[in-house]
Order: sequence, then structure tokens, then C-alpha cells
Amino acid sequence: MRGVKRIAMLLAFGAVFTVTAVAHDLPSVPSQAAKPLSPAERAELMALKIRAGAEIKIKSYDRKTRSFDVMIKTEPAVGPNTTNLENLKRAMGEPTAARRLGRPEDWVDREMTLVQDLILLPDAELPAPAKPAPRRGSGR
Amino acid sequence: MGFIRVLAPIFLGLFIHHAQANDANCSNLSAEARQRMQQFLNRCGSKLANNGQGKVAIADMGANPPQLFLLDRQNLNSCSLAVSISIGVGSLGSPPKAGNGEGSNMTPAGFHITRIHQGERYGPNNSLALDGTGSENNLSLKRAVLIHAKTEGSPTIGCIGVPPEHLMTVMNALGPGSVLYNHFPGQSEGDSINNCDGKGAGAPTNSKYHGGPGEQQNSTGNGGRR
Repeated sequence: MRGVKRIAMLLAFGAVFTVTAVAHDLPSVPSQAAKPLSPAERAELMALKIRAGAEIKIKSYDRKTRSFDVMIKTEPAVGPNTTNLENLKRAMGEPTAARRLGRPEDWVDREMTLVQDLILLPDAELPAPAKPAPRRGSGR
Repeated sequence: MGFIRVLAPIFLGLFIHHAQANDANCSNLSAEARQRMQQFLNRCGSKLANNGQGKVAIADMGANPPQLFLLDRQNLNSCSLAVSISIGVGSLGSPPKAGNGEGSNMTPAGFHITRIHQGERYGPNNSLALDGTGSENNLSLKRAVLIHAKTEGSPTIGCIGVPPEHLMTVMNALGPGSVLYNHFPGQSEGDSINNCDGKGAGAPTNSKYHGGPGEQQNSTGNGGRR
């Protein structure tokens, strides 16, 4: 009877320490369950617009995705702030001004004050690279 | 009586297991980072504001991917959240590298005081500004290095990006006037551990940044433009 008790104790210790060891080997998982967000809450948190009145600088243009990366001049560590041509034109407020700037590539390094809010593209919805236009006479 | 002798070790074992399991999620947090936070709190803990839930945060860049840990200010062994974060694209690498320069796209190292932020994109409802306390992060406030929401896996250009599902947990736990420590293991750190005040604390009175040590959070929170 005494031997049975000792075996039971050993088994109990073994079980407890096995569970403990397994718990410590588990990958790190947030202890607080993440609260699911509604689309409106997510949009508010992701802050996908730069407010009218902000001074921005166009840092780069990606021809493949037809998107711009813009910098908020007073907040250079905030970003990436990615947008497209249509949104940028709208935020400039004056279509003719946008026309005067010429090709999108020529807009790089330009600085401007936003007339309207500049709508940004979410990370998950960055445009896929555009298909390259077929070259004329490329068969030769 | 013999029955008790059998059950007692089981309950003792379960108790130990339970105590350890509370901290199991934070097993990736380096002891060195926790120790340095304790050193900072020993010096500056009494000067921190009580706007949040008495928590402090460590962003441990030694974890892969980097992780942010929320710890109880009074007991750094009590950890309530471990979550993967995004850091500056310029800091990416193995190991990640810290940087303070404007245009570096890097995340700065060291101790930062959290502050209310009202900027052109993020505001007080979805971000906290970080005010570095030392030479290694004295430009953080000027650059607008923030804690804000960021889709997991996509880098920032210097800020600490928290998955949106966890952002409010982090913001509510810290509030303005608490501390975040960006720990880059193996890299020499500056003097931020020795200073309790952010380098932006002497900013002009019309500064849009608020919430330094001892300053109470405006209950309305919203800077008005959002």
C-alpha cells in the first residue's frame, strides 16, 4: 500500500512538471485575447488620411504600383504614407495645378500644403504591380 | 492522512505551475531588458504619471519578430501582454539596429516617456508620442516617433507599430507619462536610463505634445481636429 502511494506521488509530480515544461515551450501568445474590431474602429485606428493643411513632401513614385510615398514634413517618422494619383490630385485641390506638374515621376521631391485630406492606401490594399505595356516591335 | 500526503504535492505542483503560467507568455522577454527597466524605475518611478493602469512597456528587439511586453510597474515579473510589433524599416536586420537620425527610417533605442500626440495623421485617440530621455533618442519627439497601429508584418519608418487589435490595450495600460524601453540587445546604449525627463520636455509651450511626468491626461482626450 505504501509503495502504491509513493508511485502515485511520483506520477503526480511527473505529470505536473510535464505540463509546466510544455507550457514554457509554447510559443509566445498574447495573454489577453485580442478584441475584434469593427471596420469603423479599424479605420479610426489605422488613420488612413493626412489632414488638410499638412505640409507634405513627395518622396517617391512607384511606376509598377502607380503609387506615391509621401512624408509629413513635421513628422518624418510617421509612415509609410502611401497614396495614389487620384487621391493626391484631389488633396491638392486644384486639378490644373496637378496638370502643370506633368508626369507623376516629376512630382518627386515636390513639397505642398494639402488643400483637402489626403486619403492613404491601407497596407493590405496596396495596388499590385501594373502589367508592363506590350512593346511595339519587341518581337525582333 | 496518507491521502493528504499524496494530494499535497499535487496541489503544490499545480500552484507552482499556475504561478509560472501567468508569466509564460512573456518568456521571450530578456532578463537584461527587465533588469534595465527596474534600474530606470528605481531612479524615476516616482516621477512617472499615473494616467494609465500602472503599466510600463518594453519593446524587446531581441525577440524574433520584435515583441512589446506590458509589465506591472510595481512588479516587473507580472506581465499582462506580449505582442509582436513592427519597427522601422531602417532597423530591420539580424540583429535589428537602433537609429536616431532624421530620415534614417530607424527605431531609436532607450527609454522614452509617453506623451499625448496630436499630429497630421495620428491623434490622441490612436497614438502615443515617444519622448526620448537620452542622447540616443533625443530626436524621437521631433521626428514624431509614435506608438500606433500597424498591420503585422509591415514595417514602419521609425515608430512602434502595434497590431490594431491590441493598440487600445497598450494605450490604456500606459497612458501619457509612462515609460517605454526600446531594448536592442548587444548594442551600446546611451544615457537615457539616467534621465527621467524627456528631451522634448523643454519644448515651446505651444507644443502639440503633452502628458509628461506628473501631468494628468485630459479626460476629453481629443485634440479637436479629429
